[in-house]
Amino acid sequence: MFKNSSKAYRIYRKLTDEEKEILENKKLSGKHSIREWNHKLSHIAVMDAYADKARQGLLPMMFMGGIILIITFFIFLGEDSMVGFIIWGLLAAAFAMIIYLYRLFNKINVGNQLRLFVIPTLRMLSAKVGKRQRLEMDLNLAVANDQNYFESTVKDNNPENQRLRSMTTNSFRIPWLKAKVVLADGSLLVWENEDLVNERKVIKRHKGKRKTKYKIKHLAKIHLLMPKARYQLVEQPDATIQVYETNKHYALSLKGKEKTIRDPNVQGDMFKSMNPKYFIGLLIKAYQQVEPIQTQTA
Amino acid sequence: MSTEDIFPEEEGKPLDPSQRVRKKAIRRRLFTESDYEAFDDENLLEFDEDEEALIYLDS
Repeated sequence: MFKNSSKAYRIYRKLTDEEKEILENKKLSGKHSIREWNHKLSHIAVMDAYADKARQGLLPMMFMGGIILIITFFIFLGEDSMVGFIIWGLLAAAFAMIIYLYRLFNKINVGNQLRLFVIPTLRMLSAKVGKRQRLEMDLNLAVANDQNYFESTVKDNNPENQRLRSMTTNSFRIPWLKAKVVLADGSLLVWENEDLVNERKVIKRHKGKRKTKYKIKHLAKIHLLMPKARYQLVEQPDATIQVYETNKHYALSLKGKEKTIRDPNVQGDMFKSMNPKYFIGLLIKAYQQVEPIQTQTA
Repeated sequence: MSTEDIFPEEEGKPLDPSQRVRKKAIRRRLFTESDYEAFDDENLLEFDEDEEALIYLDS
């Protein structure tokens, strides 16, 4: 029952001061090798994966535990035996532990972009970046509905859907990654990720039932500076990719957008992030705009 | 025909065959569709309760 909680807590206890500081600030910047970045972030990512799963189980346990605690209190109140109070004390201790873990995992929660995008992308880039090259990153680990990134709210007290009494849409904009690295072919890759989150809260006319849903746009902007000494442009370029030219480079710019939905009422449905595979697709698309210059020696 | 005529850029030194293969291999796009196919969804660090995510820490 406490398997995920226990794993998350064990990893949390072993985190270094630096890792705990990252959790506290939910932000970090720096220029390190891919290996160093992976080392800095992996423990947090795995801990967060376990903690997310643990929180899902802890929440219903808190409600159940509270009810059981109240009922057993009145049952044992009428008894003269000490056994009842000891059992009740143990139940109260277990309940306190559930609350403690839930609050702790909420406090150290980081955005799922870390484990769903950043870590897999680091792994993918490790094969595309020279070992001596360093990746510059500004990383924001805010969760999708972090109030610090609240943008606007729209309340509709007379929605078109007759079954609804009111509908409130809160918007959040979370820029969560800026990165820059020189790739193995000498190209400079610069990219940015941000999420546009719409949180829709509705109150239904029937019994005043409340529901919340999230619609998220995951955006990526990519710039690639590719050396002319290595590449030439293809004859039929993709119109959606902007190409500029400098003395020594071709500069390519492109954007990508992926949409996901999160329904908190569905068990296990968590916030998603941009799929790194989609991101790889964008890079492939950019590279299809050039072809390698063949040399006589080749 | 002298070696200089065949490999002028190498100042007359014939290239080692393995070196030629290496040069050829470098002259390709850094990202190709094979990268897309090779990307494993398991990299996403999503796992079932019974799976052991800690293995990611060791790799």
